[in-house]
Amino acid sequence: MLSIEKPAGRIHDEDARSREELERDLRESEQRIAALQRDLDRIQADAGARSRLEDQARKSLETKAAVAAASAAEARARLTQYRRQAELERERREALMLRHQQSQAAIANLQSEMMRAQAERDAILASISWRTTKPFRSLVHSIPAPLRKVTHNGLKLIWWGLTFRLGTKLRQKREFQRSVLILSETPLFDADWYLRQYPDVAAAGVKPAVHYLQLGGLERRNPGPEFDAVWYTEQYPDVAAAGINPLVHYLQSGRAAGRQARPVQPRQDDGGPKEQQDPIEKEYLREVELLANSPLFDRKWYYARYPDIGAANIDPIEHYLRSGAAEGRNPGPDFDGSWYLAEYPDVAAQGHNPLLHYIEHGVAEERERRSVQPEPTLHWALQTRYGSLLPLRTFRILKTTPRLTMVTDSINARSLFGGVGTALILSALLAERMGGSLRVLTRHESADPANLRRVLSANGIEWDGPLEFVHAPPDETRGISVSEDDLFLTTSWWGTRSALGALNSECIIYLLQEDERMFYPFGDDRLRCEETLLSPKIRFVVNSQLLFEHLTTGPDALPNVRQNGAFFEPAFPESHYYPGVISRPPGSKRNFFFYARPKNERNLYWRGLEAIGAAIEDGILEPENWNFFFVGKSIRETTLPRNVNPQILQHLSWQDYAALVRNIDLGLCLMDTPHPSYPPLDLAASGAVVVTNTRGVKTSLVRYSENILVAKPSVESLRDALGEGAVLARDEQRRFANYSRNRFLRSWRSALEPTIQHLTSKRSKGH
Amino acid sequence: MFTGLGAGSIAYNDPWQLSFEERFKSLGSGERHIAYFYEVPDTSTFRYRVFNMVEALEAAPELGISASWFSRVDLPYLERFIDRADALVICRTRFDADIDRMILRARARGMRIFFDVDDLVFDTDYIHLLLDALGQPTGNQELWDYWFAYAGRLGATLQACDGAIVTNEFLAEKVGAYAPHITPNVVPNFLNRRQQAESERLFVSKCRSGFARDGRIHIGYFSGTPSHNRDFEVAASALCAILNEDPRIVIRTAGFLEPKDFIPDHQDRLEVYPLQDFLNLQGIIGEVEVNIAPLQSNTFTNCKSELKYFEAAIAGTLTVSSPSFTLCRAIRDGENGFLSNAHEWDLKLHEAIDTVLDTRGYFGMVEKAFHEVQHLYAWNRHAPQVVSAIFGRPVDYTGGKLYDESIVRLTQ
Repeated sequence: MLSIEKPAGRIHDEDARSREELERDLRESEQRIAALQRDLDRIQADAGARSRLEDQARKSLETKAAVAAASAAEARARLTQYRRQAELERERREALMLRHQQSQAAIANLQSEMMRAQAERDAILASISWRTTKPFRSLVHSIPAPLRKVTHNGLKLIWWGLTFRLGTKLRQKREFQRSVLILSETPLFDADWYLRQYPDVAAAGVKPAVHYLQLGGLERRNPGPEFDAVWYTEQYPDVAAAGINPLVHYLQSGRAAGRQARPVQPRQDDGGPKEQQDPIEKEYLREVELLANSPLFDRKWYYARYPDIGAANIDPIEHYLRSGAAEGRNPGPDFDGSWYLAEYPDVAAQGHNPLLHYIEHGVAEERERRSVQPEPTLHWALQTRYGSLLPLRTFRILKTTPRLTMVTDSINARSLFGGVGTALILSALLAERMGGSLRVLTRHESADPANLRRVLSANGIEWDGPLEFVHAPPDETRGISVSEDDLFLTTSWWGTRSALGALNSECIIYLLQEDERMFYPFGDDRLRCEETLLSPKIRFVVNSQLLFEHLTTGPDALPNVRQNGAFFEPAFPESHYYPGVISRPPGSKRNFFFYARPKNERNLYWRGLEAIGAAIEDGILEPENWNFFFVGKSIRETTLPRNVNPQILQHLSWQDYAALVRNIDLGLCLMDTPHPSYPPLDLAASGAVVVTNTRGVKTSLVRYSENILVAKPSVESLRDALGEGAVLARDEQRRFANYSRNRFLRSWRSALEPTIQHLTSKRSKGH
Repeated sequence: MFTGLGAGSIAYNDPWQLSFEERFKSLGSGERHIAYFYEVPDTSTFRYRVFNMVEALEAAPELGISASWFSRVDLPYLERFIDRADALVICRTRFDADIDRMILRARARGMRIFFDVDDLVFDTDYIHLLLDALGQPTGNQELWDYWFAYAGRLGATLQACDGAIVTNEFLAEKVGAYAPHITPNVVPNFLNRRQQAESERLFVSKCRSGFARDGRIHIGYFSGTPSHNRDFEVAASALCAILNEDPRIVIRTAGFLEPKDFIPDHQDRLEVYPLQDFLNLQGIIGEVEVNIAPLQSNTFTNCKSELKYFEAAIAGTLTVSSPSFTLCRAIRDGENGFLSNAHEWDLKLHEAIDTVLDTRGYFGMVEKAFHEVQHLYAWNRHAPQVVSAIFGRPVDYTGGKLYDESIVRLTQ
């Protein structure tokens, strides 16, 4: 009633003010909507760009993964680099995802805000009051400005009341005002800093606190240098989920609840408005980038080497830059920082981080680096000293055909004949009897497979079954497949030891062609050799009865060799071992052969020279009647008495060696071991007379041939034996009568048959 | 090197670049319909095990069978092609929810579902052997994860199928051991139409020119991925030796293999081609006098097919190969090629080169190989076998010849 009684002019004034207020509200709403739309467009554009970046990152990751899978055979260093790059990409992608989520949240909020504003605007435009007051709005501008505010507030209250939102609006307004007050009182909100950091706010002319409360908080902008909003919402996702302004939350309840805040940290690629980085931060980020891109920094290695860093969940690069390098920690296996600083005192004196210095300057200055050296532990020391004894790196495969693996250092030309040749023959015949496949495992150098064929065919054997050659050095990681029915034939104590470290000893057959203890003086090596020989469950095959007798009798006998061993006598096929000349013309020179290996102590090279010298001086080997051939390895030219210059023959092929041996009349082949060894037998099997020395149970080799003369290894005895041999060599009738009574086995199949039967009948399943 | 062949000049496009609708339409004719599924079409397994099969079936309309192929991008429309098909052949596809859904859909419709595979890559018991055979670093955790996941997922798909189709009996035995509920059928790899036509053109060109050559003798190795390094290594020392002995020898490779890693002393006589499409590859193979296919001897390599032989033979090129399960059945040593055990490569390469220098002898061998391959591995001869494997009782495929029990026993 009261209002009706109001004077018309007053009513008119009030209506005019109301219209003006409403129009102003509308304009503000429209401006705000336009601003929101711009923000939305910008954020959507950002989100689109980020989405494209994400796609690119994802595609890049997929491509990298595919490339990595396809080229995984490449060097480990490259793989490590790929992993590092992939980690970085992943991290970047996660950061992008986070920012994308934040952008989405901001978009959602803005859309919600815009929709609400549009709804308000639509409601205003559609309202009865708006329509009914239209005639009055033209008068609004005539109301004095001070009155407009009052009118506006009054009308707003009326409007909210009419739309049943008065209580909510008043509460929101009170909360907003309280938030403004909180911001004004906290040092964590720095209005000047805020405007400097976010020029778009300054450009829009909006009050920093209002912007922060209305938009900045949603966009995870920082209110000041001492409050990291992104970190806070990451730490406490309930705050983000509830859409609460992070700083207001912290001040109103978070702090009281014991939640933490932290100063703004430098962040890479944070997508939002860039904060001004101080030079130190900028430099730090540059260093982080350098290390992240360097293959010499290995995050996984760092974590593995320094478990305290992983346990503390500290980023390895951050740790290395801040304190790790100073503590002497290394950035990866391929860069020894301590060594670098010790090697280059100028770098150390200037307090440089060693890896950063190397990357930035050292490479260009051609400074050296070295890999991190293993800790000088007992384990490392033993591995270094006895690397050849490391266990075979076996891996299990499903049972296939039976397989025999021969383990040897090499089958290449210079180490092929003699013992290795015998091992190949035994391996092939044993694998053949097993009905299985043959594998040759070399430890020192990769095999020339043709050598197997050369040895076998030279001895009348063919192999046409499955065949593999594997080169697995002790210090590398090549695996050796092993299945249930595999047997391993080892040819040295170190190979046997490696096999014993990885296999059931019952599947190992150790071919002994020497008392390998005699390779060494008493000491560590000999001890290990003997320990291996004493392994209780491996089986032994011994080349020659003499060696078997030596190994199983006397004070150093090996009882397990007697118990688990068998011996065979070697074979000398007539296709290769036969006399080249039965009868020489009278007066023609004869051929003398000396088995000369100065680097093999047991071949008694120097004693042989003494004996030959004595024989020449004493007229036993007259230079006018003899051609002198020195055959072996590492032979130096030597002028013998009476100016005899022997013809030196080294690195002969098997064929050339056999052809030479067939034309020898007298040989001197010394071997300071208790078995015959091959050269004296080669010569005797080819019709020559040969002198060798005694050693232990080797006192006579008549069991092979009466043309083998065994003498004590003194100069005089050997000289005398050479004299006897020279006479016999010239006495062709007696010499070839002896030859015809030779007791050599002429077929490897026959020679090895008892052994192979023994091994296959006793074969037990290993593993 | 053979001259005047015009090799390497074919404008090539993948012939499998067809829309879904085009492929779906292909499934419409005939009385019965086979849908092949492969993850993403490629030039290796997909070409041999899917594309060539579909092409062979299309060439035999009298069988009343239509076939087409689909891949992961087609899965949104799986109901369409599954509902139209009578049999589903899933080739070397890793298991996941989509594949499971496809299998369930096919099973619900009462279809027979087959797993097609050409390698021993579905059984995790063989992963270590596989890594070793491929020369992969066994200390790399990611590789173990990758290969276990890969083989495990393939194995899961295989286990979910009712049958299997494989490239040879050796592999069939491994499939049977892994999935005892399955009786695998064998359909060998064979040529496709364009590959065969281009190769035959090369062979005819050679014949018309009287096998005209320049003065060099090319030995080619065409398994062009780094994972074949250990296979190449089998023949490497023999190749080094023959390069030392004979200045006319040139080694040609295609793909990722770096022959200089194995042959450091004769880099001026190494020809390394980038990866080739399958048509131009035939030209590069056709130009060389001797194609080599060295393989390690193990379970994994014995599962491989004989394609390295027939790809060369159809182009009139002589092959020296390791005696793997399939290759020692396809090649008769000294008749249509040479078989070389690991310790014989120097001998066999010399034999092959002697054959090259005897044009009449060379022609005799490659002609025999050519005609046999035309007969056994032609693009349009295997449709009945495919149909029998899918709709009929298992086919006892013996390759029609050369089944040497003693060799098989040794290699198994």
